[in-house]
Amino acid sequence: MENVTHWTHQSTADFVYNISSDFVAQLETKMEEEDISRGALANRLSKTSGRVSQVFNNPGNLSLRVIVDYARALGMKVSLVAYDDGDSKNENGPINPDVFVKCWEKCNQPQDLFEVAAANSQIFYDVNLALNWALEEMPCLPADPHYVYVGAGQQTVWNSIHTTFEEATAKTFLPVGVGGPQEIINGIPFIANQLFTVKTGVVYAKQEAIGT
Amino acid sequence: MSQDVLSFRPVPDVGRSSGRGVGFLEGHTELNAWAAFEGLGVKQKRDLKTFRGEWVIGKDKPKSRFHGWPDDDECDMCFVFKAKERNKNHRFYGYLCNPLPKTNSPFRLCVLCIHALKNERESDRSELLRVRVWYESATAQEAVKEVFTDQLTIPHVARDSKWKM
Repeated sequence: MENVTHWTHQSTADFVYNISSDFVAQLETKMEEEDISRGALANRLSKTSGRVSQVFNNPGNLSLRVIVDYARALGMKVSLVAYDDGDSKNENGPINPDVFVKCWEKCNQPQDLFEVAAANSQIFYDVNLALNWALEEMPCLPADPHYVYVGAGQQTVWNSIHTTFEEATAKTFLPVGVGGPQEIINGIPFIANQLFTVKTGVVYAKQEAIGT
Repeated sequence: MSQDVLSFRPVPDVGRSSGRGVGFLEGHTELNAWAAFEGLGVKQKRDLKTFRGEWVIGKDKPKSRFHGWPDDDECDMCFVFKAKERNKNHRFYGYLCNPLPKTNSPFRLCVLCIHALKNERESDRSELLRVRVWYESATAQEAVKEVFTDQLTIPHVARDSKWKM
């Protein structure tokens, strides 16, 4: 397939429109999930429904004040995030804000940089605990460097040795009893995206593990 | 329908991901989605590009911008992107398929086929059924395969690999 740059590549106006529209999508998603109509939002903002629809239908010229007012009216907050993704010419377009939100949620919603560091070291610590447990208790599991077997409850199996946090978290967490060995540890059903206790800590399970 | 020369036009300028892609099916009078998109105003084009980009990177909401019919037994492959223009409600209907079953089985491609203007809240079922016909068309499938080759390659082992074969 031909290599084509992102549609926001050359125009600041296009880039602004894209990120503004991505922001409005977050609001619309929240409103759909909580069944909040535009009229109800207009009431919260003491504005007309027409003005709210105007913002939603044409988000290209949103001011920071409008952005904050609308988000706060829906019980949300806003951060402006500058980042360097190695794409200085903007050939790939902006990163969608939901990517940042999901990463933040996966780290247990840290409120400061100390909690970010703690979240990272916690996962690394848990993975190593799980590895030690796996080697002792379940040497029969098939070794596959791409997966971690996750059993709900107290035990998680790490089936390969990893020395860095990046290596550990690059693996797919595979639920035991779904795609791994047909065994459910402790008999507790697996639910992806849930925090799993690993002896004294937690490990995140990726949602895409479901059904694999 | 099967005797038409169809082509698939990918639109990678809305972003890329390993999980999803989007493009237009062309080559028949009924396949008017690309021509309709080209005829849109600047604002509507920006909307459509943004919405397609959101879907490509993995978003499934908000439904006000795009959605499928996963619970519809007849049309569960159908998908729609929406755009507003004053009193017009643009709808770009297509179908979801996986052109890479061997090399990337979770991949989903949205093949946009038909443009329509809607005034009612609900989509016209006849348009979904027309999309379904294109979904089942062997010619359409061939057109997509022209762009998405699904061939497994033999892993290349670097000469200076530290691993012995």
